[in-house]
Amino acid sequence: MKNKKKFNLETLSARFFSAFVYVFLYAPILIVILFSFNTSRRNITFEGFTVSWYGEMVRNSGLLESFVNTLVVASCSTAIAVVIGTLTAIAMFRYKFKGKGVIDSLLYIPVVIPEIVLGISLLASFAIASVPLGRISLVIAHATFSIPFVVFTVRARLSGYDRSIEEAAMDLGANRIQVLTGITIPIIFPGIVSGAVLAFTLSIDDFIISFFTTGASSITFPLKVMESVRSGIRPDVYALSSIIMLATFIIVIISQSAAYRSKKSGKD
Amino acid sequence: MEKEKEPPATEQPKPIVEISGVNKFYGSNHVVKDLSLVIYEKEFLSILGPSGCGKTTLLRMIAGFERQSTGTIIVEGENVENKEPFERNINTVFQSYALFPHMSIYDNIAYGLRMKKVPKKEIKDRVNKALVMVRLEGFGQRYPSQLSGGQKQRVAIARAIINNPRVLLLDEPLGALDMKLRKQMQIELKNLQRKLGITFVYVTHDQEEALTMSDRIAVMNVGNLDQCGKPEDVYDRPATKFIADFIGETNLFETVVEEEKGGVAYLYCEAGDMMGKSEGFDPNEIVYVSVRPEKTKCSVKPVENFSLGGIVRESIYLGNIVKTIINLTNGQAIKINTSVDQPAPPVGSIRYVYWDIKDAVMIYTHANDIINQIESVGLNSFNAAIPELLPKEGENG
Ligand SMILES: Nc1ncnc2c1ncn2[C@@H]1O[C@H](COP(=O)(O)OP(=O)(O)O)[C@@H](O)[C@H]1O
Ligand SMILES: [Mg+2]
Repeated sequence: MKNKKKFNLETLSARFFSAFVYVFLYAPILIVILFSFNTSRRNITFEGFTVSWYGEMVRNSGLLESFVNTLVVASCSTAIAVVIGTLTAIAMFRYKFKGKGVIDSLLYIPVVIPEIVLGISLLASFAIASVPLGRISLVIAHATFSIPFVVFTVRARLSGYDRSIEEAAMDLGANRIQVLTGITIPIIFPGIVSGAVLAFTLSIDDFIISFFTTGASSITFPLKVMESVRSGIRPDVYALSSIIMLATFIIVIISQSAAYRSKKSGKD
Repeated sequence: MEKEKEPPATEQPKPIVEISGVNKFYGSNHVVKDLSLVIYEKEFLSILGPSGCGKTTLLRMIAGFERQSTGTIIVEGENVENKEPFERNINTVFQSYALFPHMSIYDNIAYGLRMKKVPKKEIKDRVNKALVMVRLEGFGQRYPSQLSGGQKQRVAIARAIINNPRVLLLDEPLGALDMKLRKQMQIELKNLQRKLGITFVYVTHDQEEALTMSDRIAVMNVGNLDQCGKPEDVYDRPATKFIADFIGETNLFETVVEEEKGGVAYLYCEAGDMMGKSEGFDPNEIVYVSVRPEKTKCSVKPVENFSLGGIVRESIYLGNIVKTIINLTNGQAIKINTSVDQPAPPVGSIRYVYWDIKDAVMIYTHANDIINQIESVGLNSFNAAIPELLPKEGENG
């Protein structure tokens, strides 16, 4: 009897604790969604329900333009990071060479370095190479900080990979390109996908590095939001944020279920 | 296990793989040493040796995954020096199976044919036939992760043989299976090889497996090919001390030749005197004598020209035989197998070990060659180095 009671108390507190964590994480998000439907311009009290901010958001060309720009930059930088990161991971897995350990640890530095330092370094580099600040410099900067993440996720996938699988494919008549496209990449694909998702979200999210490495011609959504903070955030920003959140939610669910499925079938 | 005799070869067997003077170095590690070996069409050749002796390396050089440092490999009359694995008419079954985890069993087996752009219809027929051949009908739509070890092994074999290779290389294909499944797969593999009529080059470290399955066995020892011959040759007439020790159980004596007379070699070792076959040895020459436990005998009284006395330590009943262990005066344990209906000598009694001269296998050590060579060159100062040149005890595991 006593035991059972103690057990109940434990599960109860565990439940309470996890509920608290979820409230802590999701309450602010729900508030943003709530206020995107608020009739009031200010976001202190909820005065009434409206969807007019969603219409306002579409009419606010600056806001929408910045969002499209963010998506373009994120797509381009992700594509670059995925190609370079995947090939780097494969090369580092496959070949032994002098200084591999050093190169290995060098990959971690852009990850742990304060973003502001990376931002300033990139700005200085663009100045020296006389790359004009704009969309191109932004894409290069985002690809730079995304590459290590792709390398890490792909390499994690490769760690249990048996090289003789590739040899078996070659033995059966595949040339090196066919081995890469038909065997290696499909097997590490879940790693590539999670690397890409990571790179894409990091890029959409990024404020500090974008702040240093873009010009007036290429404003991203986070920069736009920061800019509007000074004049007070309008609910149309909430509306766009809500849509982004919904999209993210859907992407996460899709990628998680894909990862789950490949885990089920991909293990040898 | 009953061994079926091969039908007598009416024609001269044709060589299919010719390896000559092949060396392989990994850095300063000399892994394969001046190895020459001819593999014939339609034979089941085992490459047998302890782990780390270079078997896999040799196989990988034949398949083309590894390039030899020196020497040539000829496949079907063509030097394959610059041929990639996919350009050789050879397929490999890997120890780790190496199935493609992201493909169904059907797609795994079809892979080689797809690479060769075989028409879809034909692929389907051949894959289904291969599935039947390895007794995996109905498994086509499964994934490798859903199969047991033995089934995966059969998929790996099907995937390789569907391409009709001239030579199939198998690297310890049964190594990961349990004993019972192993025995069963040994028979299946042997039958498959006969049915397909292709050359199998089968790497194993299991001497029993090699003896039961092979037409010929190539025994490797730290990178050297020590002997290549029929199972009975390798078993009954081992060419080196290493092989005598490695293949089957044996009683091995390091002896010195006293003299040869009337077809008999009179020898002595630490434990006493013995006799062996006369094979033209010089007096004082060092010779290893190997006698199988089933050929070794013991008596209550010393037999003429033998003085290998010892104490019976143990008598172990093994179902079909009784194994008796006799410790000689120098501590060497002699194993004697006798049939169960013969009385076993009581433990603690004194017995004298002997054998029929014909059952003693004489193994030439080459020690005298080296000594003669050094003396003939007149480098007497090198005599100090001779002990190091002699084959060492335990060197070969
Ligand atoms: N890729 C390699 N690089 C360096 N040394 C190797 C490599 N492959 C094998 N070796 C060495 O070569 C020797 C023989 O290996 P292997 O051919 O795998 O032996 P086996 O198959 O008979 O067990 C071993 O000492 C091993 O350490
Ligand atoms: Mg091996």
